Amino acid sequence: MAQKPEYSTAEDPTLVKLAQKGDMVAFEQLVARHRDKIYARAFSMLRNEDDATDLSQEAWVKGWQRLHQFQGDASFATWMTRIVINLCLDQLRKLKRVRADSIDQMDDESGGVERQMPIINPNPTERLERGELRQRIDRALNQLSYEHRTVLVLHEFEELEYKMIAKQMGCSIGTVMSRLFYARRKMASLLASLKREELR
Amino acid sequence: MKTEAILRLQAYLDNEVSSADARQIASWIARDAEAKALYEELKATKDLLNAENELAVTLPESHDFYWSKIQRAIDKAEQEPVQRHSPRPWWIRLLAPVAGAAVLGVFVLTSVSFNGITGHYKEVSETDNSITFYSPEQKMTVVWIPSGNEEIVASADESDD
Repeated sequence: MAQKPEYSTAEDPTLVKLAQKGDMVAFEQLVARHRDKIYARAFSMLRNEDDATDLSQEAWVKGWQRLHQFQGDASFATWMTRIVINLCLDQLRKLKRVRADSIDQMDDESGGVERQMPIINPNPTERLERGELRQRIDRALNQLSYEHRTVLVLHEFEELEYKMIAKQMGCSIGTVMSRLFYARRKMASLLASLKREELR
Repeated sequence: MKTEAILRLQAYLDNEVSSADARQIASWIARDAEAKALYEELKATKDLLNAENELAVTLPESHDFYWSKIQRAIDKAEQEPVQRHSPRPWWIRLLAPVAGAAVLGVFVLTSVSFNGITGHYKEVSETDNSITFYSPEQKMTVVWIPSGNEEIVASADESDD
């Protein structure tokens, strides 16, 4: 009879194989290892603790149900991250439907505004402690619209190409590029203004 | 700067341009102070976010509590009948129309047999669509006349006698 491995020391692929055979303990170990990352990704997109907790749990349930589809082309953590991102995008689409203004309308209205912003002297966060920097980035991210934040998260944190972001968000590559440009310029401006506020 | 040029500058920063375009844009940045300043601002923001990729956010719940909710949701989902949503096997999908046709055929055959008497039939008249049934075993001929007053005319087959 095959001996079961030590779950806490087993590598992800081993745990995945066991979980694919229905081993719930192996799956729990995978949850324990990657729960913070999955939650953090949901939080970075939704900016709300409760929503991010609920959605990350939903992602794990979906992960368990679709585990037989996991082929190991990417790492398990990457695969789970894709699931939680898709759930977040669905959630954001629902929010978008209840919003009065559409993304396209917003893009039209903001067209060119980002070009008018003065160029910020690079590195507005110089000599900041890591914790302070994190807080400042969080505050700036909170002030972006969810469309701009999502593009930024998918590009900078998930390192997705324009084409993939466009596919995931259901928009054109041009829209991705202009949203990303706006988001970066807005971030630079927000980070600089936060720095000025703190210096007062 | 035009929007198109600005977005190309950004695409260069993100490695989303061809090598020929990259050379062209690099030379533009080198000779244009405004393009250079904008490029540096975009790069600083990108670098900052990349450095913060490892988010210092942690789940605000204990593992046991978080896992118990996941496990309950999995158990609940597994208790629901799955047949409702699962696709039928290919052989059922293939045989279903055939089986349906067979059932229909049986129904038609039984509906054109009278009290267990089966037989050959043919249309005897094109004008009134009357149909004749013939049973060799029973030595009987039945004629169905589909008019306003339908009637069945039965007669013993005397042709063989």
